[in-house]
Amino acid sequence: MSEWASQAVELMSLERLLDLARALALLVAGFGIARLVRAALRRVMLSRLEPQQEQLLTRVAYYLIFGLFAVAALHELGFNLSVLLGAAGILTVAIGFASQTSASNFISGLFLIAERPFGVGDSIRIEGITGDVLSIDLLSIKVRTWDNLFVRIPNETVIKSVVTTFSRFPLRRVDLALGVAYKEDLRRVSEVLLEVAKKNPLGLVEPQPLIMVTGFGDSSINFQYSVWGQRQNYVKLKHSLQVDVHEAFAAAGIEIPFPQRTLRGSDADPLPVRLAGGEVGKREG
Amino acid sequence: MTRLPSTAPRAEVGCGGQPVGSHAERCDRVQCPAVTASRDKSWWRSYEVSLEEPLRWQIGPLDLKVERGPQEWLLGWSRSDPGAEPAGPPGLVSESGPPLEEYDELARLAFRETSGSIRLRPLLADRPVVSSPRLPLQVPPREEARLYIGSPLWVAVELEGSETRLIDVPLRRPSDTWFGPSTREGEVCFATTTKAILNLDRLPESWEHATTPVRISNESDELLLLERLRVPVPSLSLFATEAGRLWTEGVWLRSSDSTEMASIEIEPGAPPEVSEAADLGGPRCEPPAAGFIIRAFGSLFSGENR
Repeated sequence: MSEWASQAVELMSLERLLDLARALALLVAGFGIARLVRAALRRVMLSRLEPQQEQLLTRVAYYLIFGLFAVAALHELGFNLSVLLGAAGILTVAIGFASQTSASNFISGLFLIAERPFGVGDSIRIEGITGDVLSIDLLSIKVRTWDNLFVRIPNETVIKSVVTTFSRFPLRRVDLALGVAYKEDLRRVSEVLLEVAKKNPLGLVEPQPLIMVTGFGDSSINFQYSVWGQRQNYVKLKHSLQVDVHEAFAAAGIEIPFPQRTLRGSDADPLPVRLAGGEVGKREG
Repeated sequence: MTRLPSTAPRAEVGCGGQPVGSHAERCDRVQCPAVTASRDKSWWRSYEVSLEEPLRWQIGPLDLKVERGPQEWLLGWSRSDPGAEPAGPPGLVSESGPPLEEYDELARLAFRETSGSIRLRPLLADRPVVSSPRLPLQVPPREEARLYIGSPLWVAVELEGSETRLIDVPLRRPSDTWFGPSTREGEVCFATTTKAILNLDRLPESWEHATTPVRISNESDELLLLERLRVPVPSLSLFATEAGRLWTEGVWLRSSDSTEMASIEIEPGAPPEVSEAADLGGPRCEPPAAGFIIRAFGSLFSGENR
């Protein structure tokens, strides 16, 4: 008891109290300075950087400054920093093995922020997920799909995958695959399609629509019909074009055929033909 | 919604059933068909709109109806089909036509209290217009050409004595087009096809376009091919002749290197072809400084469309 009391008294000696006070002062000063620097950086950098880049920079600056003052405070309290550094080194290795994925995601995030293949608000497709980018964070990006689901995609996945950014360029082309019956006049079909594109106010005059026969299919002659429009009108243009094509073909008597098969009978074994309400008979000839 | 007939018949008798000519000189009613028939070379003026008594105009292909309530203005408009017979001179229409709800487009604006006067104003497009000559035109080196092209017209309905604009719509909505060196770089414009008339005597009459004189100087040593011409229409002012035809300021494009770039200068005031024309008000936006370099010419897209 008396030993404990004497140790307590020793701890509470003036010198120790002064050390404690200095350490606390360093911590408080570090906290204050770190906050001031963070606020100043935010004001200066916000207009020059993306929100994610600004956030990363201010966080790094804050923790760096506070960390320096914390180390100084520990030194003031008499901790042997070399021992601390040694322990930190061992801890770092252990944490490193455990957090390989997180570290990879973090590094990937830095590359994403620097490379900027897309930004917040862009519409992207990655590994079958299509949606709008809500945020680009240190370890992952957050995407809202078009049917309003929240998806978290690790940055490592983003870096390793093919990413399609729909909202990068101002124009998009609507590509439709059409088929018309073999009996149709292909030049007339082209004229009708061109007229449909001309009448659609969302379709651009330039770049010109593309109308091209792509091949002779099993059941139809196939066309590629492509019309350019502004990116924001893509869905409306795609829908209205197909409606207009359907109407125009109907008005012009152009047939879009169903899949077809031709059946041929042989002379030795003719096809049976049943008349509605009649008897089974054989084909003559 | 029911499509309205392509042209609205104009009144041929006065409000007392008398012949147009003599009646028009005596009648004070603004809405008297005879008055409007005789005076309406310029539809851009003020109109008194009584409560629950709508007014209707036919301006080119646009059929416009305006109705006033105690606390609201209701506007409806429809356009005739592009292939329909062109409408006659623009102006008020005596027949009330179908109910407002049957028009293709509607606008309804609320106010604490409505005053009785509105003003119709012609305007030009709110985007540059790209004109494609039906037959590409070539300007030899050191030569100059003066073309007349049609710039599509808009109509604005404004409250008299106020800057409040109720609607601002095209007489016929032109198609969109892209003007730029690639699909990644450029701007959205309106597209028109022009005969690029060089002879003023052969200028066709149109109530839905204003005539824009474009002077093109080829100051280079190579042939300048005009397949597309971008005219900065929002920077032009409108002028009206006594006959009710609309013209814009002239534009001078000078090409010094047969590329798509040209220096632009807007020739202020009414063009010399219609020097007595009245100024109808300033442009939608500030014109560029004289000598400003713009992308004015362009060849048709190729290569990226595969």
